Amino acid sequence: MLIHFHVNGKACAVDAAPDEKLLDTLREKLQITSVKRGCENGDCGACTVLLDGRPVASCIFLTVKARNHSIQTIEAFGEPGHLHPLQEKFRAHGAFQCGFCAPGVTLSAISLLNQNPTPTEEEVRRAISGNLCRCSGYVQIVEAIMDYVEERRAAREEL
Amino acid sequence: MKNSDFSYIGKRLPRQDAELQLTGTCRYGDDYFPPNLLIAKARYSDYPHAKLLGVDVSEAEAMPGVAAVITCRDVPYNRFGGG
Ligand code: FES
Ligand code: FES
Repeated sequence: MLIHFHVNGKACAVDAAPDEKLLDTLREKLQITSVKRGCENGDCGACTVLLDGRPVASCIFLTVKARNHSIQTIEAFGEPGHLHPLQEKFRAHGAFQCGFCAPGVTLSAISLLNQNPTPTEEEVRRAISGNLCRCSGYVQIVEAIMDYVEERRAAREEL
Repeated sequence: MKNSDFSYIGKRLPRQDAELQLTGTCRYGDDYFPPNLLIAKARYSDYPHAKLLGVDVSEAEAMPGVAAVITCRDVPYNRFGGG
């Protein structure tokens, strides 16, 4: 089945089987390996992508359901040498260890911040609750996001 | 000697691999797709808690595209469950 969708702003057409998961399409057919294969059960969030701006677990999302939708992976937000300001905060806070969860956590956080630029810590924790980090313990991840939120708030108040 | 005499000790240093991890460009084991990559799949028993009397792999071996079928007989030393 030929499925058309947008990935990071680019129109794509892939030949997908009816039971094919979006994770496999992105990793194996489009070679976007920033989308991580963790549990393949919808539990860990390593495979998170944004579908029309909302986070979904691509390992339990059928490729055919992405037809005519817009998908964003971490490549849409930053690349080596040009980090997203939130990625800069993660780096400054040493938020990750192995980094396997980092693209998914970042996408969930960006989706929250797009809907609500001034979330509370509670709201941040809830937004990334679908992203399991096997190493870090979340403290620096949350601190980095709150640092970013505060910096933005201060910048807005100065205007 | 004071900490300020050192280039690294006592300083906050950004992780060298943070940028690669954050941008998804860091490659982990299953992010490599070398040419002629083979895919391994495990075939489990259909019967839990049963006595294994034999394994017939001839059908699997005859399947198109199958490079190898590996069983305990291919492992030289079986401490557990060997046959
Ligand atoms: S790999 Fe999709 S949620 Fe874990
Ligand atoms: S840093 Fe290793 S899983 Fe989060």
